[in-house]
Amino acid sequence: MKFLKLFVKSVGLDIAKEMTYKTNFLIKIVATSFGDIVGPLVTFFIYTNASGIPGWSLHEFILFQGVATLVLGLGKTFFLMMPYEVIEHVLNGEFDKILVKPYNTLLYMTSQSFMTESVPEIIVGLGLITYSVYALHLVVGVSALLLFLSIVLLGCLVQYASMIFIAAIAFIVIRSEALVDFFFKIIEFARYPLNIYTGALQAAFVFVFPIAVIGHFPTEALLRGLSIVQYGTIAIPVLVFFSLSLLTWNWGMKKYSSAGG
Amino acid sequence: MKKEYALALLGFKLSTKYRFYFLLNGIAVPFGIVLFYLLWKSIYEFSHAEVLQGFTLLQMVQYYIVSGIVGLVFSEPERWISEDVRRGQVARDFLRPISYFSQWIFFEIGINGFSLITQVIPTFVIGLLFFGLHIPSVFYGVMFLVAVVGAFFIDYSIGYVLALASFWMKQITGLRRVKVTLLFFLSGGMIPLDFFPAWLERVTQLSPFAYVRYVPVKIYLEEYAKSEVLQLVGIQLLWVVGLYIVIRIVSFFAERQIVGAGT
Repeated sequence: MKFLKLFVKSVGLDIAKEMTYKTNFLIKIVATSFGDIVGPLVTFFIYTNASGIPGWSLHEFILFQGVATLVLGLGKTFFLMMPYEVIEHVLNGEFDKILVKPYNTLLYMTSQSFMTESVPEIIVGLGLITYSVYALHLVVGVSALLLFLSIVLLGCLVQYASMIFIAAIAFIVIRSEALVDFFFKIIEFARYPLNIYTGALQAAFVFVFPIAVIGHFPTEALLRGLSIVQYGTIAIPVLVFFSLSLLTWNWGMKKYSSAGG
Repeated sequence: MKKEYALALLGFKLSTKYRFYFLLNGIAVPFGIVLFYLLWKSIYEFSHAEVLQGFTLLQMVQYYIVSGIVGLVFSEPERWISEDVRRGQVARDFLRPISYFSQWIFFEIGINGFSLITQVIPTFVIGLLFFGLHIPSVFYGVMFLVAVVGAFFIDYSIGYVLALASFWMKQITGLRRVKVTLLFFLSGGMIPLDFFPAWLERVTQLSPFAYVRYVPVKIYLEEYAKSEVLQLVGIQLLWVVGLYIVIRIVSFFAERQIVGAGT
């Protein structure tokens, strides 16, 4: 509960920060939304010039991109700033101040990482999903919707775990923000369906670095449904990945020594 | 040239501080190539097509490799300048015995020098070894290098115009994002411009954007006749000059906006 309060405060602060430069904020929103629409636009160009991506009709693939945009947008909005915050504090020698706060350090850092400027991504994602569900005449039942939402949560968890890994590495090497950029390059693989990848990559994206829960599986859940066994197969690797990130975080915290200003 | 050299060295040295970032980015480029390769392979197979919009699968992959290499040559003076404007340090820089425009260009050249060693050359070698990239003939090779230098100047100039906007707006992170997205999309970074609808392809060719990435890449792949190459490089030069004139005019007004707010 106290973290919710902290979170709400930090949301207010971030919005206030953005409002200092209102024009800039507006341009940022337009730019972000445009960036998310470019993907489906390219899809449209591909489908008009070729048969498209195997196993996916135009609108099915736009649905896929909408889902991936939504899940990646959620990840950015809630978790992306976390490693930056940690790095900033470690670099300035201010992390000790956070350690003495009467809160769980990881949850406290997470509550501070809300990013208003990424909210448009969530909205664009939802817009694309609504459009393609309508175009496909898709009827989504309650159980399918719940399944979809639970996989979306898994998709957020993978991103959260990745950010925790990067933040934990910051305790050792201090400057680990380059890894965030690297993460964003690799996460591009989540923007395309699993069936375009070779067997080894498919296995890697399901079991090792389980980013298939960001776009592929939630979309599958909407279009074709998933069995319990399938659900378990994709959920367990995500939970293991998340647990590993927590272990790394704890290990990093032990290694942390105050650097000073 | 001593002053210019010192500034370039400064950019180079600053980059070495971020070598970890450069290295990781260099590693990420091949990942991007693999992604595009797999994506297009599936599209070609599914379409039962040998050629799409004049590209075979191999040419498509080579397009993305060279495009990735050209994309590594970039500059973002707006990033440094907007910061300096906000902190009020521009006033100091205006007093230097070298124009503000040139100061940052040599700084960016230094950064690109470091990028050449850590990113461009490794990517190029990976392309040669694993993706069947070939070295173009002398004429196309030389014209490619000329076009890349032109692309650098256009990219720098667009960034500089944005930087000048910071004299009015103080915060230009939004505009920077617009630049990155538009430039990547309209220069053919996501998909070759041939796949655009005819009207949009025409727009990109009439804008400086195509000359930042698409044209150099196609020159490398030897897809233009020699006379066409000369013509395109000529147009590119006109854009460089045109943007420079715009910058001089906007600078005149921007420099009167300085308030020097301090840190």
